[in-house]
This record gives sequence, C-alpha cells and structure tokens, in this order.
Amino acid sequence: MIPVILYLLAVMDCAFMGYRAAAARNALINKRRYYTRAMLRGAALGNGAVLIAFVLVQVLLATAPLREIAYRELIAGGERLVWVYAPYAGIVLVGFVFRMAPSTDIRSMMNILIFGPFTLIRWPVVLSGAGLACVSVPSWRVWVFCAVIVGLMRAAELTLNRWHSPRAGVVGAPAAA
Amino acid sequence: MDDHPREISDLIVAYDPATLARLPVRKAEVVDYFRQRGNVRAATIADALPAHDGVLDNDAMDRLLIEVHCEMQLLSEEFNHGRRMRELLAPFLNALRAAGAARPLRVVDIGCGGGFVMRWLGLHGDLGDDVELIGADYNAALVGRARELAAAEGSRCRFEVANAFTLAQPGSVYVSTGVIHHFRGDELRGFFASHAGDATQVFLHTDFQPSPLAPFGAWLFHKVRMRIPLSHHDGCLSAARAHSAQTLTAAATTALPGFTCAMFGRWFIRKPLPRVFHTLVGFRPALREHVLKALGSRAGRLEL
Repeated sequence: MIPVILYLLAVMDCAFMGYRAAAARNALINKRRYYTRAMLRGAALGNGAVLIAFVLVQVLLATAPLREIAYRELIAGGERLVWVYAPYAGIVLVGFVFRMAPSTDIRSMMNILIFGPFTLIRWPVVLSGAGLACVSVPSWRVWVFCAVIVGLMRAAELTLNRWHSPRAGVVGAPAAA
Repeated sequence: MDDHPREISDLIVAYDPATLARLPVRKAEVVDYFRQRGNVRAATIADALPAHDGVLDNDAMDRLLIEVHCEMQLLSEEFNHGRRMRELLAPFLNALRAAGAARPLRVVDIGCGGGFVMRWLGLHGDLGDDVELIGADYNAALVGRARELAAAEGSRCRFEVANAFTLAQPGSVYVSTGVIHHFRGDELRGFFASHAGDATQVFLHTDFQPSPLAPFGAWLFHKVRMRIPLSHHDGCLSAARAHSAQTLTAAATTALPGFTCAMFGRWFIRKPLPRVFHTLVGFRPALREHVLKALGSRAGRLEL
C-alpha cells in the first residue's frame, strides 16, 4: 500500500508542477487544454521519476545481505514520507474542491488560505518528509532513497520550468490551443 | 522629489500627453530615482534594462511589459477579476437600461493593459447585444497584443491606443482594475474629474484594499507566482500604494459633485474580514433607485 500511495503522491505532485510551470505564460482566456497538456506533461515526467525510484529500490534490495530487513526499512521510510506528504496533498485537494464553488469570494479565499501559502511551504514540506524518514529509520538505504527522490523532484521542477521557459520568448504570440 | 513612490513600470515608459507618442526615457534617471529613495532592488532591476546611448530601448520595454502583463493576468485569473467585474457591471447595465440610457452602452476599461477583463467579459460576460466593450491604453504594444488575443478567441471587444476619456465615442461606464493606485494626490482628483463628461453615467474602479495583512499577502502571492523581478517588485509596491476607502471616496466626491460615490464589497461577509480588492462605485444620482433594485441582495455591500 505504501508504494502505491507514494506513486500517486509523486505523480500528482508532478502534475501540479506542470501546472505551475505553465502558469503565467499564456495570456489567452480559455486555457483548459493548455493546462491539461501541462499537467499531463508533468504527470508523464512523474512516471519517469517513479520508474527511476523503482529501479533504485530494486538495486537496493538486490544488493542487501538480508533482503527482507532492507524491504521493511524502505517501507518504514516510505511510511514516514506518507505521514508528511499525504496531509499536504489532501489539504491542497480540498482547496481544489472548494475552488469549484460558484462564489468568487470562496474561490479567492482558497488562493489566500491554501494555494499561495502551500506553494510557499512546498519545499520545506518535501525536505521535512525526507528528514523525518531519515531520522526515524537510520538506514543508509533509506537515506539514499530519500536523497534520490528529493533530487528527482527538483530535477522534474527544473525540467518543466525549462521546457516552458524558451516559449516565454513567444509569449507575445497566442499559444497554440 | 515627490513623496509618492513610483513603480518601475511607471517610469520606464513615457508618453506625450497630447499625441501619446513615446518619449525617450533616460535609464540613469530611472536608476537615480530609486537610489535616492533607498530602493536598491528597484534600482538594480532598472540598471539591468537594455538601453542605447543611455536611453531605454522602447521595443525591449514593450516586450517586457507584455510579459509582465501576462504574469499579472495570473493574479486576475486567480482572483476572478473577470467574474467579479461581471457581477458588479451587469446590475449597473440593467440599471442604465431601466433608466432609459442611450444605446449602445459603452463600457470603457481605463489602462486596460493586456485587456484581460474586457476579453473575459467579451467571451463570458453575456452582458447583452446593446453593450460595447472597449479597452483603452497608452501603450500601443499592449493594445496590439490585446487585439491579437481577442481575435484569437473571438472575444467581442475592441481595444484602442487612446486616452480613455477622449475616445471619439465616450463611454457610459468607465471601469478599471488595479489602476487607480497609480494616481496620487492632485492626480487622483484629476483622474476622477475626467469622468465628469455628460455621457458618463457610472464608474467602477477596483483595486487592492489596504489592510494589515495586505503587504504580506502581496509578497506571498508575488513570491510564489511571479518570475520576472519587475513583476514581483511592482506587484508588492502596488499593494503598499493602495488607496484606502476614505481616500478614494473623498477624492471622488470632491472631484465629482454630480455623482454618488461609495465603496462596494470591502468586507467578506461582515467586518472585520477585508476582501483583497474593493471597488469605488460612482453613478448619477438619478440612477440610485434603479441601481439598488438591480443590485438586489448585493445592495448591502454598497456603502451609501
């Protein structure tokens, strides 16, 4: 269950990364297709990152003298990540639910209370989750795993921003629908 | 030296007030303006702007302003400026119809920039076939960009490089979003005095509402959403420069004795929860009953 939850959290986070990388670069009014493509791009990158993490886990397990113990350590580390990342993701999703309300006040309130502040604290949350896992499960395999996934998240963010960045030069022209 | 801090975007472009032709801007003057006021960040941003022989490159400034307005549009989207304007504009247009106002009802957006509000209204406003939506701005590049975007989506609006108050066909309704904080002191009263033409029936000017949390909120939003340093600097300064309700109503009442002026939508539900944006509303006294009837349950938000 923990690997499945981490997979869903990773792909969701990357999808939202895609959204943020695409935001403020297209001045059209109707951008549903634009943002959908951006989120799918992020999710695709997320799947790539998860694949790398999966291969890493397999290597860590294959090289462990006692595979069962190594597996339990990694699961315990993953559990700590879920403890921190799942509530964060849950609150963001609740914000999206409320943002569908017809009231402009409630929609705006979600930006003030959730989307803005939670974007600001995203990296401290990422590092806190990884830190909790490393401190709670003193295993070098967990440390390596956490370091790699934090690195993958940063790489995904940079990649998505760079993908959009050259297109900022043509922001003067309407983006392709 | 004036006491009202200017934004970088206020200073990097200049226009002949009569012809709206671009005037040269010396980069050193912009940098010195901010250095003298101890605004190191703004001075650094200005110092990095491209220039030829000490004069800011107009084409580069236009490209920068187009990108900045694209970023600022995100704020308009996240705070639903199009929808908000529609919620307030529609009742006032109905009030004008009930009062027998001449058609078409021309809605003019002052300092429209990239034209987000007019383009949104032109696509989703459903304000009626007797309504013309016109955006006006001094900057030809921004107006050109707004026209391209409106054409790309078939938005029913148009844009003019013009002083909004000297259009060939004057507006019945003047609106603006995030503009009035650029006018200070006598300039603010002069801005309102420009609404005194016979054709003007209503104005709706929306801007940041000052509050103890506004500076932090502006910093937070611009920190997480804006990539261009100029956007970040000017956005934060905009919130800090926002006029209070008292300043706006006093200036408008002084400049426009022929109008009823009041604030709209300052509080979320009740005091003391302020909304991020508030709107200065002005209308001809003869429209009062029609306005209150058209606003319906929202009439309570109008601080008459």
